[in-house]
Amino acid sequence: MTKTRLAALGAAALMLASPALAHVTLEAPQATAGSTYKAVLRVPHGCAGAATLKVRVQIPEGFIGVKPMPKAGWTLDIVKGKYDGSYQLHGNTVTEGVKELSWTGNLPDDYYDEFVFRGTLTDAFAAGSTVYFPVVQQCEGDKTERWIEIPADGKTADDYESPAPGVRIVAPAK
Amino acid sequence: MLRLLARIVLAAIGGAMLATAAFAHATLLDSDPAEGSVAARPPGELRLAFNEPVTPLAVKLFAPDGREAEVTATARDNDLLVTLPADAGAGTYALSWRVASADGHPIGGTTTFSIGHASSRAAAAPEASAIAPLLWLARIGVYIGWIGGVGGAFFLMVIAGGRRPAVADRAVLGLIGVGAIASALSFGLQGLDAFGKGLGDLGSAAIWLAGLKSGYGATLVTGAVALALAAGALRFPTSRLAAGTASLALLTVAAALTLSGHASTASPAWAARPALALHGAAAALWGGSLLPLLILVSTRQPQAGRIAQRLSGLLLPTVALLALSGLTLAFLQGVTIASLTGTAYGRLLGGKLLLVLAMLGIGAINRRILVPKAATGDGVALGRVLMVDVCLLLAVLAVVAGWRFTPPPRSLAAAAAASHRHATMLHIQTARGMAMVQFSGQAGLDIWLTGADGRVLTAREVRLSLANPAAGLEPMRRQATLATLGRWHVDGLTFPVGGAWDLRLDVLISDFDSLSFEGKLVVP
Repeated sequence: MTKTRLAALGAAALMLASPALAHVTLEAPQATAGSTYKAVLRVPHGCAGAATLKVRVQIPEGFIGVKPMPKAGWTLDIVKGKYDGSYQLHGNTVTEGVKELSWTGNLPDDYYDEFVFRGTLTDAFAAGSTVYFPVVQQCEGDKTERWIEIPADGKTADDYESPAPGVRIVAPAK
Repeated sequence: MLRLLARIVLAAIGGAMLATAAFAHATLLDSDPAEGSVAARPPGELRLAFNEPVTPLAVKLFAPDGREAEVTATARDNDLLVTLPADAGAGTYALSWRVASADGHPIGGTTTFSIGHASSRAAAAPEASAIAPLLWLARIGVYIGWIGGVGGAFFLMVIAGGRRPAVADRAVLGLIGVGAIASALSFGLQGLDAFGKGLGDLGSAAIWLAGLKSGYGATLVTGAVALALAAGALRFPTSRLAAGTASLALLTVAAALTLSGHASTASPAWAARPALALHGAAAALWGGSLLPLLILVSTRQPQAGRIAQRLSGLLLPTVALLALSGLTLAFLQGVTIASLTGTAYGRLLGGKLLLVLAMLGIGAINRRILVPKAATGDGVALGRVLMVDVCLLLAVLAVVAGWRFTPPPRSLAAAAAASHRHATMLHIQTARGMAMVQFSGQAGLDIWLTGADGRVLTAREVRLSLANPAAGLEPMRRQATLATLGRWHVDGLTFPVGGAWDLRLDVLISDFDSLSFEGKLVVP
C-alpha cells in the first residue's frame, strides 16, 4: 500500500513538473506494457489563433487493435496498413491494423477539446521507455501545428517547442 | 491519516492541472513594421500583435551597428507596443522580445526590420556617425595642445631658456588652452559616439561619464595633466623648476599616448607602447618648437639665431628617433607597400609621410642655409619657412587625428581571417543525418542536408532558428526555401552581434516525422 501511494505521489510530482499545459498531450501519462490504453488527446488551442479543422495522430508501431471513439460533429478517418512486425492479440497473430487516425471538424481557438482512441500496448515496449503519438493539427488558413518532436537521447519533451505527446511505460504491478 | 493527506494533495494537484489545462502559450500573430520590411522613415513605434494579452519581460533593440538601444515596451490588449528612438538612423534593426503569456509561460523571438535600406552588421559598422567630424576636430585640438602646447613649453623652458618675449608665452598658453577645451569636449563626444547618440544628448551626465570611462578617457585625463604641467612650467619663477616641469609634461604626453588608440593595442605591447611613447615625445619636441621659434625669429630676438642653431643640432637625433619609432609602429600595424594605397589607414599614413617628408626637406634647407643666416641676424627667410612648417605640422596633426576612424591593416587582416573562418562550413552530425551550414553573402545561409545513408535528404520543410542567449537575443525564426536539389537557402538574416549563435534546424521529412540539428554558428 505504501508503495502504491509513493508511486502515485511520484506520478503526481512528475505531472506537476511538466509544463506541457499548452501542448497537445495525453491525459494518462503512463501505462503498463501489455495492457489496454485509453488515449485521451487534449488539444488546448488552435494554430496561432486559428481554429483547428483536423487532428491527425500517427499510431506508433507496437500499439495495436486501435479503435477511435466517434465524436459528435467530427468525421473520423482511419488509415490502415501493414505493421513492421507481427504481434499477438488474444491468441491471434496481427500483422496489420490502424496506422493513422484523423478527426475532421471545427474547434475554435477559444475552445478546448479531447479526442479519444484506445488500443493495446504490446510487450514490444520496455518498462521505462516512452511511446510517442505524433500529432498534426491542421487549422484554418492552411496553418499547421506539428506535435511530432521526439526527444533525442538525454533530452526530455520539455526541451522542445512542439513535442509529440507520449506515454511512459511502467512495469506491471506484481 | 497519511493516506487521506496523500489523497488531498493529489486532488489539489489534479485541480490545479485542470484549472490551467485550457491555457495556451501566447503566439506572435503579426508585427508592424512587418518582419523583414523596409520603412522609408523611422516608424516611431513597433507593434507586436499576439493572440492573447502578454506581459513584457525583456525587450531589447539592436541598432544596425550592433549597439543596444534603450526602448520601452508597453502592453495594450493583445499588443506589445515598443517605442523606437525617433532619431533612428538607416539600416536594419533587430528587436529581441521576451514576454510572458497569460499562463505565465515565457516566449520570445527576434523581429527584424529596416529603415531606409537593409544592412548587415558588417556593412553597417564603418558607417560614419554624424558627430565624426566633431570627434576629428576635437582630436586635432587635443594634438595641438599636446604637440604645440606641451612641446612648445618644453622648447621655451628647456631648449631656448633665458629671456623670451611675452607673446611666445601667450601663444603657447593659447595652444594649451585649445588642447584643454578640446580634451574636455572629447569626453562628451566620445560618450555620444559610444552610445550612438546625437549632439542633442550632450547634456546627459551618463554620456560624459561613459566618455570618461572609455579607453580614450584615460588618455585624455593623462593628457590634461600634461597640459596643466606645461601651463605651470610657463609660470614658474625659477628656470630649473620650469625646465623640470616642462620635461615632465612632455613625458606625460608620451605616457598618455600609450594608454589608448590603435597603435597602443598592436602586439607585442612591449614594442608598440615604448615606440608610441618615443614617437609622441619626439613629435612634440620637433613640432612644439616650430611656433615659438617662429615667434622668436619674427620678433627679432637677438638670441633667436643661436637658439635655432641649438635646436637644429637637437633635431637630427629627434628626427631619427621619430622615423625609427614610426617605422616600428607601421610594421606592428601590419602596414605593407600595398596597404599604403589599398586601405584608408594606409592612405592616411602615406599622406602623413609626404607631409613629414616636406617638413624634413624644409628642415634640411633650414639647417644648411637659413639657420646659419639667421645666426648672423637675418631671420626673415627662416621666419617665412617656419610659417610653412607650422602649416604643414597642422596638416600632419589633422591626418593623424583621422586615424581614429580607420582600422589599421592588422585589424583588417584579422577581420579577413575571421571572414575566412566565416566561409568554412558548420557541420552538424546526428544519428539520422548531417546538416552543413554556410554563409552565402552578407545576410544569407545555405543549408545542405544529407541522410544517414549519405544521400541527399528529401525534406518537405526546413525551419531555421538562430538565438544568441549570451547577448540576450531571443530566437529569430526563418523558413528556408529550396534553392536547388539538396540546397536550402535563408535570406535577409541580421546578426546584431557577433560570436557563437545557437543554430537549430527543424527538418520536416513527412507529416509525422521531423529531425532537428543543433549547433553553434560563429558569426564574426
